[in-house]
Amino acid sequence: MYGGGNIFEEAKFDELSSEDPAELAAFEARIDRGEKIEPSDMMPALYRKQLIRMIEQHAHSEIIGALPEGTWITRAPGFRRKMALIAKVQDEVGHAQLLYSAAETLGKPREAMINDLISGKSKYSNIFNYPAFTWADATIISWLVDAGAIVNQLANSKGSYGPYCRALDRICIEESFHLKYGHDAVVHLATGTPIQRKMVQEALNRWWPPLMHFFGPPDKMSVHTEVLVRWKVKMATNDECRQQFLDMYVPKIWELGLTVPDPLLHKDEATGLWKYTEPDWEEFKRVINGDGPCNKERLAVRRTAEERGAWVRRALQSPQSVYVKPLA
Amino acid sequence: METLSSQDPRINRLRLTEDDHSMSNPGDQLITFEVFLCPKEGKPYEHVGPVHAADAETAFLFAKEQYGRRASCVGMQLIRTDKIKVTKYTDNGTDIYGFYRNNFPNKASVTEAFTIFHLKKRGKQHVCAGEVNASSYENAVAEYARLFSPAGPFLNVWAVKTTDILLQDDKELWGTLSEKKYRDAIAYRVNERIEQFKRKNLQ
Repeated sequence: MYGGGNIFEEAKFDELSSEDPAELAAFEARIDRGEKIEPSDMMPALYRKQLIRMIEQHAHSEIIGALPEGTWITRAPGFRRKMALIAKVQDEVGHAQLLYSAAETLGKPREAMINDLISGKSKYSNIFNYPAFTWADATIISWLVDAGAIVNQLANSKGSYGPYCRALDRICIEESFHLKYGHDAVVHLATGTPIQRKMVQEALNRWWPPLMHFFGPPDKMSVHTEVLVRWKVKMATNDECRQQFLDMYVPKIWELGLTVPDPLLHKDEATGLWKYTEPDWEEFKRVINGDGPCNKERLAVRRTAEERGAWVRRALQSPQSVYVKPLA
Repeated sequence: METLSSQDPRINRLRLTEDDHSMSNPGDQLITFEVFLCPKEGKPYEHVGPVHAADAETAFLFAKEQYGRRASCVGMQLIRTDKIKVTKYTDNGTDIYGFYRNNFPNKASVTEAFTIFHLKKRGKQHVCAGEVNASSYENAVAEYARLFSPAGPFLNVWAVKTTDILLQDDKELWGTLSEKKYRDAIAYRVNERIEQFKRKNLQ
């Protein structure tokens, strides 16, 4: 699961001046024809760099995103939910593997990506820096965070880079289970006892601001991404994704008799667009830069897993173990 | 050093500290293998992606978890990535076999078995096409084109010595896949409960 709040580097157009004009034209013509780019094709350095950055952030988000829900495996209510949650968390870690592989085809080794995650150099989806206090929080994550991720991932699966699209196709199939499982778990609480309803409403109130942050800053605040849109790296703007999410899920929240903690939230029937209170973007920046409730814990868990598993990988090393880039 | 406090008791038991020295051990990526799955009896093997592992045994274990745990699967092949020879990609519409067909004749008296995987469209996956006897990787692609006249165009070919393919086709391994219904979207039906809830609330 992953949001569209990608942190792209600002595209500097002089970076394109070092590209061979004929090759650049052939590359753009291929994308215009709707063909996918494969790893051995010529691609501009800027395309490679931004794709690595985006796919890597996506992979980190999957692997860190498994943590807030993973917390609830041991305390899931009932055996069936425990089995389903284990399967979901395993899917998320599996998604990270698929995505690291896709990024590797562009030339950045997996170990380098994991190092950049642990050192804080590389980002992941901000929403996972918030804690899942109760089981109801875990159900809201499974339903609505995954719902948001699907909006973004379906858009990206129509992008131009073959290995990323293939990974996303597999990911989206599994996400449809996450979404239904999460919805089922929320419906169970929302149609249950007054205490269960209160629990899920409070969880929704806690997750609403991070959910509004999930798709990234409004388009008018985002860096210039025109060239990334043309190259089908960025497939939908942050606001487009947010609008689509609101349109699909606010009615489903309301039909359960739950409320959304935003008095301004409504659909403007004239424009078909949702109006909402602009979330606190200063908080978004602060949390992305390390000052969220769980940033330190998330990275410490990942770092410790890496450190404490290192001796196993060292023991397995042999002269035969030569790293090669995956093919596709 | 102060340990981090978490709401998760398991994490507290790890006694994590905030110390953030970064890791650097670029050498532990192990061997890269490409994984191929057979989705159904009688269907060809299809490329699904890579795994990194120390040896074939652990590679199969990782590959089964990564690619064989959800979709229907009756067999799995692994090939070390460095054992696969890759042609260049053509543009959609140009057949790569056309380039090989007459340019790489068999020059040796001894041949061996090669397996060919090819790609029909950018963005899709390589599919196993068949086996030929040939004297080199290039000759294998040419032989395949000569013997099978594949209905292309195909835009990329992977050639591999058949002896380099590692196979796992123990059917028992995949037997429980279809039993795990709780991992399927279709197992979750909420509409009836929502309708019931709405009716009750209206009364």
